[in-house]
This record gives sequence, structure tokens and C-alpha cells, in this order.
Amino acid sequence: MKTSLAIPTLFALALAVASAENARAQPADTSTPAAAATTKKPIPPGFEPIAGKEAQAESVSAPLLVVLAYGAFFLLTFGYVVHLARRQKALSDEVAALRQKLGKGGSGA
Amino acid sequence: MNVVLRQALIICAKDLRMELRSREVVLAMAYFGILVVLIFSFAFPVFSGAVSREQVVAGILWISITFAGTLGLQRAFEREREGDCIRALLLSPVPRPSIFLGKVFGMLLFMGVLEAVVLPAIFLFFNVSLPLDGFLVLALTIALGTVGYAVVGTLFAASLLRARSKDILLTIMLFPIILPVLMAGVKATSLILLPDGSQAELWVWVKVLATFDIIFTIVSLWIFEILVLD
Amino acid sequence: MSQASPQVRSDEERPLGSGPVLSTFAVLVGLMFVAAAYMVFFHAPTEKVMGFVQKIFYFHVPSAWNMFLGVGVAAVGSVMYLVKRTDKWDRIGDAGVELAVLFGAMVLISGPLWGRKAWGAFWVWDVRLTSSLVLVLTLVACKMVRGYAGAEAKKIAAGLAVFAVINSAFVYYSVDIWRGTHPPKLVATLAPAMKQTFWFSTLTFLIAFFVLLTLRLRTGRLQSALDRLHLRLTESGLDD
Repeated sequence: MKTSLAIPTLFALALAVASAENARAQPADTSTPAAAATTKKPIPPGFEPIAGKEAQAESVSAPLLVVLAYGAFFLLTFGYVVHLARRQKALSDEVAALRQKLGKGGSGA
Repeated sequence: MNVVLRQALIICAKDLRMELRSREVVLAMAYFGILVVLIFSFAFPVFSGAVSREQVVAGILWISITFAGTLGLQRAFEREREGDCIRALLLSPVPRPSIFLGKVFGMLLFMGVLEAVVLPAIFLFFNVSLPLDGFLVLALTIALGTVGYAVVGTLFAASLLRARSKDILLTIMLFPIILPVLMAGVKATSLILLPDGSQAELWVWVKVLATFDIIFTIVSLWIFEILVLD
Repeated sequence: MSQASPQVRSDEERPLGSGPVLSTFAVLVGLMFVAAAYMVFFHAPTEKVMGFVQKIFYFHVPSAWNMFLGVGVAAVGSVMYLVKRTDKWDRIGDAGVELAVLFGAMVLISGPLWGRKAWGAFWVWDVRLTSSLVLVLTLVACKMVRGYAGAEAKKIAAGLAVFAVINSAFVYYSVDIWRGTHPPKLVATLAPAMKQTFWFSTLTFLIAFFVLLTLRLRTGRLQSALDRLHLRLTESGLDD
């Protein structure tokens, strides 16, 4: 049940980020490239050098789009693993508690 | 005044707490919102260039069928459930497919009445006139679309018979599945209404509708059999 | 007493992919993800026409393939559940649905980001993106049914999953003839370094899929075990 909430939430979050970028990118298309360069603020530190280097040769918003996309890939995967781990922990804790309540005779394992 | 407001806030906080725990309402609302956006995008396809008047009329027709149809579906099995009639129906020596098809036929009749009201209204309000052969093709398109809608809708309504929050779930399940019906219906209808609509393209969409009907009728009969097993 | 009743030995009792094998693969896939990202940015050359934004492709396409893998697992699990009615198939179907939603979300986020540059807009009702969106929405509906429908949720969700899979073909076909435009098929025309990067990413995603599937199935088994225990607790009258 919780997963059905977590994934749409992440999805909505990413969409919100994307649409915020859209709102900023629209005027950037018509204005100077320098204006669009300020939109690179949310880039994680690990990606900074790549984006900086490529940004000179490439159109300005491309690195941001790529970083957002790869951020989504890693964030979703990582988030899902964390979600599963937490859920498994909670479940096995509850299983252990119930086994204890039932007494050792009840457990087949 | 102060007391009224304070009590109101307490009730609001209670609702908020309940919603935070189940997250049922907000999630369903958000999801339904996205579905409506999707449905209207295909009913009024702004993305494929300027939308003609005929296309808007077609969109309005299919939107009204889609939304009004859910009212019928929500009530389709309500009467069976109230007296636990469905159990009697299932216990009777009637083949299971007959029960399903019987419910579908009923739904088709109800929707036929709905369309008999909606179609003249749209013709009247939007000053649409059609030659007889065009009208017959339109009737065929609507009939095929209605069959697909009724089959899938009846199956979902039947499967939700004993489920919780079935009203929410019915639309949530039904709308994305009948999206191809809506797309094909809108496209075919607008091609019929347009004076220079491509006949070849029109028949492609009619075939899409017919294929949808055949495949989903088979699947629905199979799933209905399984759903009512216990 | 309850222990007198012959206890059905369920597969929930056996650990699933636990211990060294799963951990090894999990670590491996983590390293491979880093290596794949390195290859994407430093090994593969920047594409001539689309430029830097084309780099999204190396993860976008494998996640789309993983989505279909998830849909395949969901379809098999759901159909088998409807036929056999065993919890095992329900868990497989549910896991497939969830993974398809996960990778579908990646497709639906990375696709528009790519499209923002390639098409000039986030969304242009492209055939594949639109049908993916409808597919993911239907699968999310499956998860919502599981959450809200109550006692018969498993049956309904399995039935809906079958509909979702068939429906996606209809949506694809419909949008295709509606739009009449195909995005180019890219994989065949890649430069060697791009090809290496792409297939390495694909392999990484493939392994990641099975690691995640194993993890998800284990969660499902734990849930089933817990449900069983609750049932036995109620039967034996120990419940409160």
C-alpha cells in the first residue's frame, strides 16, 4: 500500500521540478544564454564539472535536463530500495513479535 | 463566532489526520484529475493542430457518453447487492456468460436511451445536419463504442460488487481502459461530421472500435467467470 | 491448540535470495550503475544532431525495456493468479506491477526532459510516451485497487492488470495512427563507443531489475507470512 503512495509522490515531485524548469526555460529560449545559465543552481556537486565543461560547447539547458533525468533515475532506484528495506524491516519485526506471542511450538521453521 | 471557528478547525484537523493515515481521498482525487486531463486531451486534440468545430462537437458527444455512463454502471449492480440478489442469480442454473451478457444488454439499453437524448441535443445546440448515410455510420460508431464501454464497465462494476470505495474505484479503473474507445469514437465522429473527412481513415477507426469490442468481450467473459467463482 | 493442525509448509518460510548471492548482485549492480554513468558522460561521444541531451538515451531506453519486463511479469503473474488462485502468483503479479510503475516513472520523467530539447516541448503526444503514460496510469490504478478495495482486491487487481496490458497495445496503435509520426529507431545506428555504453547500461538495468524483483518478492513473502500469523493468532484466540 505504501508503495502505491511513494512512487506517485516521487513522480509528482519530479514532474513539479520539471515543470518549474519549463517555466524558467521558456523565457530563457528567447533571452540571452547567460540568463539561462543561472538555472544550473540545483545541480548536485558530483555532476558539476561535466555540466560546466559541456555547457560551453552545447546549448545551455541541455546539461540541466540530463542531470535532472539522471537524478530521477538514481533517486527513484535509491528511493525504492530504501522503501523496500524499511518495509522488510518493519514486516520482519512484526513477524518476530507475533511468533513470540504464538509461542515457539507454533513456528514451523 | 470564536467557538464556531475553533470547533470547525478541530473537525478539519480530524479530517486531515484521517486522510494522512489512509491518503485515500487526496490520491484518488489527484489521480482522477490526471485522468480527466488525459480524456479531454483526446476529446479535444489541440495537439494535432487547430481543433475544428466538428471535432469539438465529437468531443462533447463522447465526453457526455463517458461520464453519464458511469452513473449507470455505478447503479448497475447496486440492486443486486441490496437484496443479495447476485447470490441467487449465481446459484440459479443459468450459464455464467448469460448473467454477464444479460447485465451488458441491460447496460446497452440504458446507454441507448442516454444517447437517444444526448445526440439530438448536440445536433440541436450545435446546428449539425447529417445526410442519412452519414447518420447511419455515426449510429454504427456510437453503437460499437457503447458496446466496448458497456462490456468493460459492466465487468468492472461486477468485480467491485463487494469491494470498498467502489464508486471511486470504478472510474479510476474504467477511464484509462476505455481511452482507446474515446479516441476512436471522437476521431471517427469528427470524420463523419466533417464535410471532407477521409472515408478510409474513418473505417480504420471503426475497425479499431470493433477489434476493441471483440477482444475485450472475450477477456471480460473469461474474467467474469473467474471473478464470480466464489 | 493451533499447533496440532497440520501446518501447511509455505514457501514464505524459505528465505528468498537472501545472504551472499543477493548481496553480491546488489553491490555489483550498484558499481555497474556508477560505471554506466561514467561511460555515459566520458566514454560515449556527444551526439552530433541532438547534442548533450542525447545522453539521456542511455538510461531512458533500458528503463523502458525494464518497464516492459515488469509488465511481462505482471501479466504472467496476474493471469496465473486468476487461473490458479495461489498467493504466490499474486505476489509475482503485484511485484511486476510495482516494478513496471517504477521504471515507467523513470521513462515518463526522462522522456519529457529529453523531449524538451529534442522537440522543444516536454510533451508532444508522442506515441510511445503517451501509451507509456496510459499504461503506468492503469498500473497505478491496480495499486490503488489493492489499497482500497478490501477483501477481494487481489482478484480485481489481477483482472485489471490483464486489461491494462491488452489496453496498452490499443493505446499504442491508436496514438500511432492518430499522430502518424514515428521517432527514429536509434539503436542500430550508434557509433561503437555509444553502442558499448548503451548495452552496458542495458545490462546494468537488467540485473537491477532482477535484484529489485527479488527484493520485492521477499517483501511480498514477508507480508504473506505476517497475514498468516495474524490469521493463526485470531484462530487460536490469542488475539487480544
